[in-house]
Amino acid sequence: MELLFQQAFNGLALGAVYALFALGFTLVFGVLGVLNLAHAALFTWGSLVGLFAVTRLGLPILPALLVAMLIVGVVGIGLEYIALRPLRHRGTSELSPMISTLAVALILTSLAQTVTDTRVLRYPFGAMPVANFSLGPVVVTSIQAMMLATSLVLAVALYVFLRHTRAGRAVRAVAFSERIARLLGINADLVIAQTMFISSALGAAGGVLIGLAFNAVAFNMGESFLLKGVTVIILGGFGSIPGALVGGLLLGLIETFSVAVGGGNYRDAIAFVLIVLLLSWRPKGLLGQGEGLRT
Amino acid sequence: VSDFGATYSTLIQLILLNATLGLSMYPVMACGMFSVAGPGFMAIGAYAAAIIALRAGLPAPVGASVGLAISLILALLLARPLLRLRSHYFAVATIGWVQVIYVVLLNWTDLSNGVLGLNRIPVEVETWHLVLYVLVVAYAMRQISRSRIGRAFRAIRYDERVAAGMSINVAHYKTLAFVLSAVIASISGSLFAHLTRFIDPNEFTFALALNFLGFAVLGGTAVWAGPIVGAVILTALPELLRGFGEHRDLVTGAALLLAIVYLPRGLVDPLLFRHWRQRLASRRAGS
Repeated sequence: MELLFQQAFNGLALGAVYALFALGFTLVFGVLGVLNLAHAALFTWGSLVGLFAVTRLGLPILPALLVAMLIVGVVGIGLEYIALRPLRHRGTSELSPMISTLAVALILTSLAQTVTDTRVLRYPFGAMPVANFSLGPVVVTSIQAMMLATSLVLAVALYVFLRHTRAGRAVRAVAFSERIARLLGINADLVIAQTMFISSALGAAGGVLIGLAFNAVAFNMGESFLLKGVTVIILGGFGSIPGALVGGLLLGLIETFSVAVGGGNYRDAIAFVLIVLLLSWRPKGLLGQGEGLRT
Repeated sequence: VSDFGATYSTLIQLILLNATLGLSMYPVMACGMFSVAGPGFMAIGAYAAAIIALRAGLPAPVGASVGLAISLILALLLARPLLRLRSHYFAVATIGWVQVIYVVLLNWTDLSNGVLGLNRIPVEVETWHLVLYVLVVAYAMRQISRSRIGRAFRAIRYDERVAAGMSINVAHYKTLAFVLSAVIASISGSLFAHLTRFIDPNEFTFALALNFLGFAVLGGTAVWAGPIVGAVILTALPELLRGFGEHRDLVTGAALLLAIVYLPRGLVDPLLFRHWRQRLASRRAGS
């Protein structure tokens, strides 16, 4: 019984990071209608920048997290300028941006491979103070506490931003219709650049947390996350922010329990069989209703 | 000349094989479907050929035919649920398909020998086989694109609802495109297995799908020759730029990005040719 609680908690902590990753993913989809396939590469770079901030600059882990979010956020804006804006202004089909973000993903991953020399990098000992707390029957490590706290804070911040600020209202207006937003005098390009910044920063935060949790940073760590992120937003419905949160936690739980019960070999395949079944049954996802951003 | 052949024969074989993989993207892209299912079917073709050659000792055409049959049946079975999905969901489901095949190959060790792969597959494919296969597939695609089927594909790509309104059976043609693409990739897989002696699951991942996509997008799918041109350029370029040899993905990514932003219809674009011809003509007339 205690084991069950412990597994459930481990699943939730992992799922919180999946949710964080998927939030940025789903935000871009909600606002732009684009599946940003470079999101996982931005996640990898978040992890890398966070690690370098700790090892090269000697920063403590929290400032390193912020540095990673900031730098990768700026890279996200660059992605918008290079790969998304020209296509948007030309008015191409919805598949072209998927291909251009894929191209950016290839470039970023290749650069990450060069920078890491195809090795797996690790955080130095003591980068994260090691401490365990007991919470009833459950043991919580300091890393898990940080995963949950960071994800919660960022998710709440995103919610407040979208719901209760003027800039957030502009984001939702663009998500509803870029054309109408422009007619209302909203600078849609600016709003989209902001959205890319936020989304990439969220992905980078996820990267730092996962790099810490598994104490491994590798150039291809994002690859499985792209698939996980897609799983999460299909579970929750494309463009749905509550859906991303629920879907992330759900995927974390499913993964943890499937590994505990049946070994991890077929884990990814099971997730995708689930997706295909789910899509045949509910083509819009579990919580999905239609297109567009929902908070 | 023989020196040239010896030095570059591997590269030439790779280019030919990639040209067929690029061509396998033609039917689905011509229909406007974002499918990256190719590596999954290529893996089936490769493993069927390898297993039948190694276990039963039968000649390569038998293995290739079995792989073809399996791919055909699976593609037909998959097409029904997958084609109900709209663009993004469809794309994601095909990524999932590639992942499922990968995980099965990795874990069904009795059949596939898992991560160690299959070794000592008899080498039965020579360059002229590949040349012949490229020519056959290219000719088939050319004939298809000029037929009623090709026109139906383009109508669906342009606007699915309008196509349906003109009594084009959209589901039927999309299934056809998906199955065609699967069959071409499967045979390429069988050829690949008998060309390289060794296959393992890591060859057939999502990363390979990106290459397929790169061939099709860089070359363009307005004309059947487009994916061949894309495959030739993207295969040869990293080899020719020696220093970039180990940064294949960087070159592929940059070419893909430039192509989609600046040449959205690909390098082989009849409109672009016409445009140039007219400019040349007007310049001559002016002088």
